Amino acid sequence: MIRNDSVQFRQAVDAVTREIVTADHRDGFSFIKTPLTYPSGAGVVVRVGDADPDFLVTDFGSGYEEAELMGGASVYARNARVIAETAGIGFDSHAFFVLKVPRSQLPGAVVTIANCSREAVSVAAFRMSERHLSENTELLYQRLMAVFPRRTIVKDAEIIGQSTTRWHVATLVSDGPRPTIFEPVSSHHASIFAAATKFNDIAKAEQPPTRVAVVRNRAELKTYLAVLSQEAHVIESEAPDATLMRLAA
Amino acid sequence: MALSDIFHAQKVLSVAQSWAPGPNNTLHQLHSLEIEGVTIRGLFLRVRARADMPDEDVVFQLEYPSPGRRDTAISRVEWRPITPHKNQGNAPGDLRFLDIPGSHHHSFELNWLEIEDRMRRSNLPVASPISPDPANLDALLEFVRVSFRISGLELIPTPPWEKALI
Repeated sequence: MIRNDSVQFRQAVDAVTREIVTADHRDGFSFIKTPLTYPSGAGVVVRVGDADPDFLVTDFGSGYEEAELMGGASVYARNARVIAETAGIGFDSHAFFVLKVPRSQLPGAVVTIANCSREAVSVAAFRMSERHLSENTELLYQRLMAVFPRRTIVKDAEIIGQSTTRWHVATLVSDGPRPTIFEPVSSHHASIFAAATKFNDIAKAEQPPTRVAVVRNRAELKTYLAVLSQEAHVIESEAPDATLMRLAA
Repeated sequence: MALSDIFHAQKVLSVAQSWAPGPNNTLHQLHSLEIEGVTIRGLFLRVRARADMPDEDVVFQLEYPSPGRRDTAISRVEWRPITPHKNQGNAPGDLRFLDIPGSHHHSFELNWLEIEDRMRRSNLPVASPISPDPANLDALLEFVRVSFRISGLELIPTPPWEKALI
């Protein structure tokens, strides 16, 4: 057993420090491999160029390329502009950059560029899952219109919960013996938690509507299925029409 | 077709494409792929290189859409990448938390969840090192031919890499 005040322990920690940040020197510029990673696991690398007497620091578009590999280049670019502005750095539609960085500010600039590049990719990944959800809502609405031709289907309906919070639900079959909410929920944990919070508050209101979460695949949710099913029925998007009719009866 | 069927089918690249310039000195190609004489909707081989980095940082990605996902990658090979890859805790066995600085393969098998017939989230997060490292572009194309089960890769021309001034 290595004691944490031993030389061996400290040498191991020092070695790790040197392993997780490295420099790769080329002709006229260098890459700094940071400890940060994009969601796919690819390392965040920052390029440092010579702008004598200062330095040019950029992610040379690697965040954009990472987003492009997952089909999210345009989403990335839109969010990256905002992230760059907030951080006080440049973004030229593909790459984050700072043009003239004095030596004293170089570490901070490298860290800021790396963080912004990683954040922009993470936000793009999340926005892409949200966009998919809104497409699913439209599909669900069209399906409900077909399954319940004589009932009133409301898109983006407002329901007041026990807390008096005004919640927006994706679709509501609003007439009949008891209104029924059909809400698409993705397998992303943020989507599940948002839906569960909403359902929980609505469930405690006076005469709450029936609540149905519509997911792509229940097995995909694992333990989150139990979180969602505490206050809502859960069906898969491919459930037969008879199931929808039974739930909204 | 199920994801696994698509991946394991013998695919053909039958139409040559030229390299298209992209931002930041990148070079791109996107190839449709055939299975049994039919160009399959949504099935693509994406290739990316860097004009100013010969014999370095070349990516081959096999793509096919599946329900519930917006990203379409089902396998990827990265040859001599600038950015290293770090596996997370969900990688199996010796690959767990492995830091891979050199060429690596995000294989279908490592990133496919069989029971749910879907790919792992986060764009193929699990990779394994490629050893020995393909010595040149021809060796890389051979690796991709075998790994992705695609014939016709000889139609891919060498990227128009910029030669360094001596």
